[in-house]
Amino acid sequence: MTDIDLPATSAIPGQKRRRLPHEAVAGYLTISPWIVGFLVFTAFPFFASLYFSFTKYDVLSSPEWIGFENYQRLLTRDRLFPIALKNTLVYALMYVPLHIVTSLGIALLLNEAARAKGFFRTLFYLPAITPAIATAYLWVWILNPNDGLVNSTLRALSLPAPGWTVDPFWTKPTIVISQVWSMGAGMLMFLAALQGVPKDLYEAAKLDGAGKFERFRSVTLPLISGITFFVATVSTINALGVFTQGYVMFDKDGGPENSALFIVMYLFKRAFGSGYFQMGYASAIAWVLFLIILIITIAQFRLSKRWVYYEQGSD
Amino acid sequence: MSASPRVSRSFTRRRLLGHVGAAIAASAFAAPAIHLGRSSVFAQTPVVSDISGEITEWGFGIAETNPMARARVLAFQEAYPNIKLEIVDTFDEQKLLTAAASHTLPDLLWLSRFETATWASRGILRPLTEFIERDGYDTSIFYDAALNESTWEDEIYGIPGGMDVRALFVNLDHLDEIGVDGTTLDTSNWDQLAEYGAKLVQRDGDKVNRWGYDTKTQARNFWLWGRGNGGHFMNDDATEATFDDEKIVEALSLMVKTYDDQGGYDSYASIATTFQGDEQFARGQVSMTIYEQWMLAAAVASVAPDMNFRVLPIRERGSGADGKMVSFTGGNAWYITSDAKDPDAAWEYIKFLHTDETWLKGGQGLKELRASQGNPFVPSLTGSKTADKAQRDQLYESVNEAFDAAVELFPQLLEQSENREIAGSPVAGQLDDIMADDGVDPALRGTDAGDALGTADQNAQDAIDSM
Repeated sequence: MTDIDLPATSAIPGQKRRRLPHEAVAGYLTISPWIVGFLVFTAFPFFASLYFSFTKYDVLSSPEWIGFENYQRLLTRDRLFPIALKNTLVYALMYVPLHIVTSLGIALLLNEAARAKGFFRTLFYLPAITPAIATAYLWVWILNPNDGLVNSTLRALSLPAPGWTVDPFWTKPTIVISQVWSMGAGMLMFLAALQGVPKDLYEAAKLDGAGKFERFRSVTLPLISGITFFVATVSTINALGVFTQGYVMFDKDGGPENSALFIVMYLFKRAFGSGYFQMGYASAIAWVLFLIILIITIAQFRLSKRWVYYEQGSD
Repeated sequence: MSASPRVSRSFTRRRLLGHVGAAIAASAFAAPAIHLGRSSVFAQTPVVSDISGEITEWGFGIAETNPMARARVLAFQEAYPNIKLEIVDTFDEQKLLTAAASHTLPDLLWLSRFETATWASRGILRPLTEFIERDGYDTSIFYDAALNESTWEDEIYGIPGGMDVRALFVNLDHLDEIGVDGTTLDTSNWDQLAEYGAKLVQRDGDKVNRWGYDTKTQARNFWLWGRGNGGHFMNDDATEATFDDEKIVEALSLMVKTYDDQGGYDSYASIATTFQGDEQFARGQVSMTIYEQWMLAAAVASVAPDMNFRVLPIRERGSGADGKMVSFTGGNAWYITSDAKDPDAAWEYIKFLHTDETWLKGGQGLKELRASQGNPFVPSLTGSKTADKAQRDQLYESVNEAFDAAVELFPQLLEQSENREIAGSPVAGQLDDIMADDGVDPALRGTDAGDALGTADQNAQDAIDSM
């Protein structure tokens, strides 16, 4: 233990009591809008939904406590939940790696660009700020199996034209393509990380005879691994909550053979679909999804210790 | 005199979001309101009532592009200057649900009749029987199908304010190409229609240039085919699902075959999102199609008024060329909510909007709009037999043989139409989804129709029992 010599003024009890509460009040007042907002719009609904998940509740009548029945039904008797779960996981498995590779690839190109860097940065970022609904319609048009831009081109090249939006095999790749296109945020983060890699490390590696690929593998990747981990974690959470693209591109029904039915879409249908109003059941779905995301995120954090490199402080 | 309703400037964006639906649910909670002034563009000398009150209605927009609604509402304001009317012209299930939970429902709802049982069973609609009996209101003017769909457990909850009905639109030139006279088509011979469909389809490799015969089975129209084949989807009191009725299975098998003979359902699905929505038929992209009657006014009249076509009723399978017409109807009705602050004023509003005179004002407004666009006027179906007749007799002007025949056909079809049997169930929306997702879609994609409908039947019964 280290002894600390306190200033003389702090030893005056009356003065201390007056000053600190005043600062604390000012601090609490300053953050109170956020605290109130958090309690009312996040914390309360969060715990309320946990309670509702154990009830039969249609919003219009009082909730009726039914214990674990919603969870039992969801995990043992619901035909659509396993489909929605599988679709969501498959989508996330396709989307997250592709999102990281594309974001990093574009960021590498931009980092190397000698001219018009700002222009291309804006260009690649534009899809990220374009409303998801607009991009969804755009991709439905581009990937239309009969006469969309992609299939017309493939036919002109005498290549097979997939049924992007009508074949259950292709519906998830269709959504992945439309989502990966909006990789602007990931790209910017990677670009910032790449610009933070010390140049002298590249020069040292070069002097040691490392080629371009070796420099990328041994210098760039480790030094941007923190950002890679962040992008992977955030995009995984986003992917598991996919809703808008599926809802717009394939309507609320989840597309052919429910191949584009995702968990959040299914939750929404159960909660608000005409003739459903199963708010208790939808809450149970939300909590199962929350637990899945929590487990995956914890696993990502655990695994990150093996591959994420954090530079040590200089002192 | 001029009407100048004050409309929120953010309306266009909100409407777009609303159309996309619940993807952005929050937008619906802030739907804009229109407060009407007292003047009207449709200068009349109304009988002015001294009844006063204040009512709010949801769902019935009065944009200038919708003169059928606008003219009638403005006429109401002329006749009832002391009733203040607030209009919120869009809403969705989330908004309605939260309003019901917080007891902030409007006085009136303009709602699909298909949802009568859904909302009435949850206590948010007020039975209209007391008003009907008190005023001796004549409900016999409404088509049976419309009134039945507005009724739940022997109580009338809604007053029908519009109808849709399905019929077969036939391109006579296309049929002529395969040597068939479309005007004498026997629409009770469903197998023959399927054969013609296979001959009419045109493709270039795997690209479809023209679809032959679109039964719209995938677009939740299978109810027509199942009933037309003599099957039943539910028992009489809508408590037992019979989705796997032998006749229903037979009908679905035939629908599957109809798609398969034209190149398969995937082939159809690819053009369903390609061709121009409601204008496929008018643009010659589909030769024969089941469609609601409004395509005549909304697409054919505006895109190709001179096309060589006929609108024919589908007839009960095997009943012959003069057999029983089959179709099912839908449409909206007016409902007074259980939380209505001024139900009497709301009832006055409903009654006023449904007189033949008011309908004629709406029809006149629509006719003038069509004329300004250079398009022929086709009367809307109102749900009221007398109002439909008044529009046909007093407003409709002959366009050509095809239009005239169609305008004459629709009321006959409405007389013989039914509403969907599932509409009587409080879980009608779920049942509709189950038939589409578990019955029709899997069958169209290769599952045996009997197996698919068996699964659908079981799931439908589970949904009914869970209510």
